[in-house]
Amino acid sequence: MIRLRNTLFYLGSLFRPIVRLERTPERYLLPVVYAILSLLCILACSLPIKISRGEGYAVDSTDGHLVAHIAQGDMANGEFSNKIFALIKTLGQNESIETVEVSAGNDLINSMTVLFGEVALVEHLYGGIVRIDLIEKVGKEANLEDLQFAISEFHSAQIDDFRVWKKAGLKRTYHATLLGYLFALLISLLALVILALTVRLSLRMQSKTLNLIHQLGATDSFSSLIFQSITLQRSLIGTTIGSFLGAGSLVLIDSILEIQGYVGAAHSGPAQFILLLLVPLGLTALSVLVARQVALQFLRKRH
Amino acid sequence: MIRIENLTFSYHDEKPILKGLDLNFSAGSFHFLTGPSGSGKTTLLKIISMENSVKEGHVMVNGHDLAVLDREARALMRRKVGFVFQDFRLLPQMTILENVALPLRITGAYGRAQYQQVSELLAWVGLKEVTRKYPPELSGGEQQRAAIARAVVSRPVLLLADEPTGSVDDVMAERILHLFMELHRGGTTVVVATHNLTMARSFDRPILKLSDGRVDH
Repeated sequence: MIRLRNTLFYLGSLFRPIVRLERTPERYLLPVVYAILSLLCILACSLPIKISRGEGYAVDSTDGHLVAHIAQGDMANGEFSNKIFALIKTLGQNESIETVEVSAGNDLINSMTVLFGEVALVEHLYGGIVRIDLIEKVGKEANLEDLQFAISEFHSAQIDDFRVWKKAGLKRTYHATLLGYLFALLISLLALVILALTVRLSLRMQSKTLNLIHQLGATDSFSSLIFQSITLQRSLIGTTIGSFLGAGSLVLIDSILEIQGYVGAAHSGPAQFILLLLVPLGLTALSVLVARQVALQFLRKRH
Repeated sequence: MIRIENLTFSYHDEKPILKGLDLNFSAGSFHFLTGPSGSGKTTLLKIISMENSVKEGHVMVNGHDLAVLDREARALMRRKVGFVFQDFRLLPQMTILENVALPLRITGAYGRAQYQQVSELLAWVGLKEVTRKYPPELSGGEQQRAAIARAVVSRPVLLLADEPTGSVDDVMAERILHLFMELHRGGTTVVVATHNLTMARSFDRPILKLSDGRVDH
């Protein structure tokens, strides 16, 4: 019963401080710092999520998909067409291939422009090129050597199963993810260090109030509760502002990516918007714990 | 209630203010403490109220040696002691009502009944009209009365008052001392440090005179 009463008293005091502190200039510092740091933290955490999503989309969309780009080279038009028709027939007969699609000319240029965003560049790259897309049957993996042999008549042609760049892409994603989370961790640590210094400053500036309540019978836990309470309020205000700025930034980044021609895969998903809730709450909870420790340490040394 | 044995105290290794002081205040007693400035009255009250730490000698309050109490126990002990500070020590950022209610709020015992109790006490000390005002808006006498109300609001078992009538007129001074007498009749041990020997004599209570860090018998 006493424990319940104490817990209720603690929670009540946390949200509605019993002792009002003097108005000192450092009270503005924490919300501003927290708004900036939580915004950076949200962006740092959303970077790896965004990259992973983009990477995941790229991996998924290329699974079971092989491609070959064949240049006309020195062949005459008629000879080239005949050889391409023969190749399509051969590839279509392969038991692990479901479909063979050919794109060339304007069709190819139109489809690639969606990805590259610039017609002139696509025309330069894909002029006189035939692209053959092969889709594997579900659960069957095509023998790359067989397919490569089938197209060997076209000297420069290569069957690409995307494995090489998928591997490189996954490595890059891993590093970017690590970097993003590391950055978020550093920002959180920085926020807590700034908080600890601010609480210490606040404790010094409120020494008159602290001395008095100490004299009236306030325990160290009670006195530290005042600082936990103001930390809770100020960091909630700061991180909420940071969260709104973060939401705005994510929307802005998405629209920039869209204008730049990146596919919808990089759009912010639920995970990024959950961050907008988790970062403020997590940072605030940690801050309250840090404020408690700093205040208790300070009070034990002081009185 | 309070037993002081061979108490010596000095600030920062300066000349001792209290020199081997021996004193006894029995439970429920009422004492006046007089003496010239610098005789150690305030220092003695600050030691009893645990604002200053005992360095040499022993101070026992309610059977507890103050030197060996842990931080938590000292805090709980302070809740039973009402202290009227010479410099009032009201928090300027809180209203008079909040200042007076502070000891009750610290103990967590502050509800509607206590609010009523604080309001009545403030009315009794003549501060009914200024409960929502802040200390800097009040005169010295009003601040002193608020400080007294704060000291007695939790009905302490020990009341220590350092020059409680220094900033009020004679009529109010007498009212304040009668309030202390009332608390004393209710069982509170009261120690009042004062310069006003004439007023102290009019109350027919033991008067201890401190001189050069000792009790002058």
